Amino acid sequence: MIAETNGFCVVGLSHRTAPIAVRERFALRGTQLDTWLGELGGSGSVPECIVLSTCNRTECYAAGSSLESLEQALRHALGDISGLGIAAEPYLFAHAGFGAARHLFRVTSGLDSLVVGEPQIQGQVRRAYQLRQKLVGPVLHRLFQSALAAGGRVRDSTAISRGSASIPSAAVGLACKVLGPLDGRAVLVLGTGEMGRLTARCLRQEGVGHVYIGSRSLARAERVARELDGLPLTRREAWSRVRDFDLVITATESDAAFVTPDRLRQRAGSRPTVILDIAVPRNVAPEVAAEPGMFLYNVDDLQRIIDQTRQSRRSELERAEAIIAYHAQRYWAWQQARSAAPLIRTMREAARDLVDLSLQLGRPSGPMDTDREESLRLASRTLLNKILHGPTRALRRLAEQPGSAPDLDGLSELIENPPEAPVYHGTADTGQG
Amino acid sequence: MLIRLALALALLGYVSAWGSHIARFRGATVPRHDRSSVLTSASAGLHFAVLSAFWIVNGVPPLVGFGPASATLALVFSMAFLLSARVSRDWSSGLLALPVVALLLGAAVWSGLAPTGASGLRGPWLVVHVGAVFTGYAGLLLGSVAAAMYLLQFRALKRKEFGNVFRAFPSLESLDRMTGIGVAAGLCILMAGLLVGLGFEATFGAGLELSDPAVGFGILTWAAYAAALVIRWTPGGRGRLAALMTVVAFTTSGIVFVVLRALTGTDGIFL
Repeated sequence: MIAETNGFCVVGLSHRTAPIAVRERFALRGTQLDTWLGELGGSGSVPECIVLSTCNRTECYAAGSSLESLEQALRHALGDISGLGIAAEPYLFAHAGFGAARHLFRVTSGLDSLVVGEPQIQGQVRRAYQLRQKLVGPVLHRLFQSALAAGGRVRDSTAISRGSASIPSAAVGLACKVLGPLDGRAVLVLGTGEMGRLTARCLRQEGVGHVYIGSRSLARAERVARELDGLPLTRREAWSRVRDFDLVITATESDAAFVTPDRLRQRAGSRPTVILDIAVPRNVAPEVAAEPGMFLYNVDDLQRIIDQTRQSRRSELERAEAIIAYHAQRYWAWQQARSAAPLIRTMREAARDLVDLSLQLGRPSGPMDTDREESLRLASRTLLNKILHGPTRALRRLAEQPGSAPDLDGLSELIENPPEAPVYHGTADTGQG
Repeated sequence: MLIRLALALALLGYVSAWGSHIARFRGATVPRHDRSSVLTSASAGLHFAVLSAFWIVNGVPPLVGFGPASATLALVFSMAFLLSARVSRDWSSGLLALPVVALLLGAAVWSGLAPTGASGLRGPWLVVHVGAVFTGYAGLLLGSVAAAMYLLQFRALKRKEFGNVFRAFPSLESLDRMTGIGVAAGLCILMAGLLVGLGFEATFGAGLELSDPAVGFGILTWAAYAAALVIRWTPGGRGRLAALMTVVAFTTSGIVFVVLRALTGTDGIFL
């Protein structure tokens, strides 16, 4: 249970706390998310909120005066939207204050992702923030801006996002190393299985011009091609047009290697061709790799790239955590300094009242020139600002220190109710008892 | 002495930039291009200022004699590298380009930058002729660097070695394009420079002297790279074969240069 009484908190679930069957019940998209947030805001229990909803997490970042009621409201709302009600409780986590800030910073940097360092999360956090940018206050604004800056810093300064960490992305990365940017390239995907479809989808995201889906069954090829916005081919047609493809991905369930050097020789000698054989057992005869201009890779090769990436990312974790700790501390210092704002306001108002009173008392009895009066007032205000600059900074610094709340309360009390001045009764205090 | 010291400082900058490239290549640092690009740009700026000062102080451009010519060629090449890196947004070619710059500048610093007394070659003809020839050489050098990188990346990809070369170097397609552009542009500019020299000789001199080492080297270099370019244009000639031929052309030119330098001694005006 969150114990703090003001600030912000996060309530949600992720791949760390809930299996996919549960997570998909919490997925909030488009208008559904807008409606839900509208209802939350309308009820008054969650005045400002940003929801980060991806396939691996649904997290609600909310700010308000009472964190306890915020957390309760969010838990209740998440239980409702998932249809799980109270049964959602074991899957939900909650952080408040510094813990919530640090959590968002880690999420944005990709350290909390299923595949550590994956770059998409930065964009997802940015979109979630932009969606609610105009409807949230300074606390959440600053929180998300700082998190995005920290995420960018982690990616720039460490190798946490370098390399490919999944079979499809490693396949795309390898193809790019040979062929350069894939936009406008023609790709043939042989096989309509899960891995072939995933790789084809990844290629589509890379901007590949035309994805051809080849299968023994044209009906199956058509179905998958529709799903991926590709073009269907029978395997015979695919072979007749193999000259046109720069990248061939084989992912069929064939028991024997059916792609042999003879079949590809007609293309050899012209542009380079990348063949990614991600099927087990292999669809491509190893001898194909010896053909000039042919670059053949199988699942083991892709796995080696992934292993190297993971190893390099692990070695960067410590540095990434240090960057996050620094940015989270900076954000938290800013957030803490905000707690001194009412006290500073009170102090400045009290001082201004005193100056105004002094000006009133010191005013000559006769009529006074308006310009002179105005310049006197301006000079006194400038002097006041200069005198209060030091105490204001000191108060902000004090507020940034942990455990400074009692001191701030004491100072506030002192300013609002100053002790009465001792009354002089005419007897000199000699200091000798 | 001051000019030599300042050039040594620029040399130090280039070497530091190269060190930064090596550290990044070996994975010791994160891919931050700022440091190496700033170091290279600053060194090139200093290099340019020093050669301008040489021109102003001595009243002759630093184009004649081994030391001044090497220093100018190093500057033109470093500028060509900076330009290509900015355009392609890829600084990895600095790994091979910067040592060439450092080698040329190191040779200039080592040999000294005294102006030669060959006053008959002064004037705008010389500036245009040598400027174009050096720019052509810089293009050919850039093409050769890209070709060498192509061969290394090709080897890594064929052998399935997913190490530093695989990670740090650009794609084969980009390297092939860089090789083609560098060689084609270099050849065109070199040819223009040679034609300017020929025009000068025809107008004021005794005609084309093939025995002149500078002329011989220029024509031979042009021919070697032209052969590489012709092979690139033949069917199936792009990619590895073109890169191989470009590296062969570079090696041939390098050997010819060393031989000619050895034959002409240090007194001549050839590079």
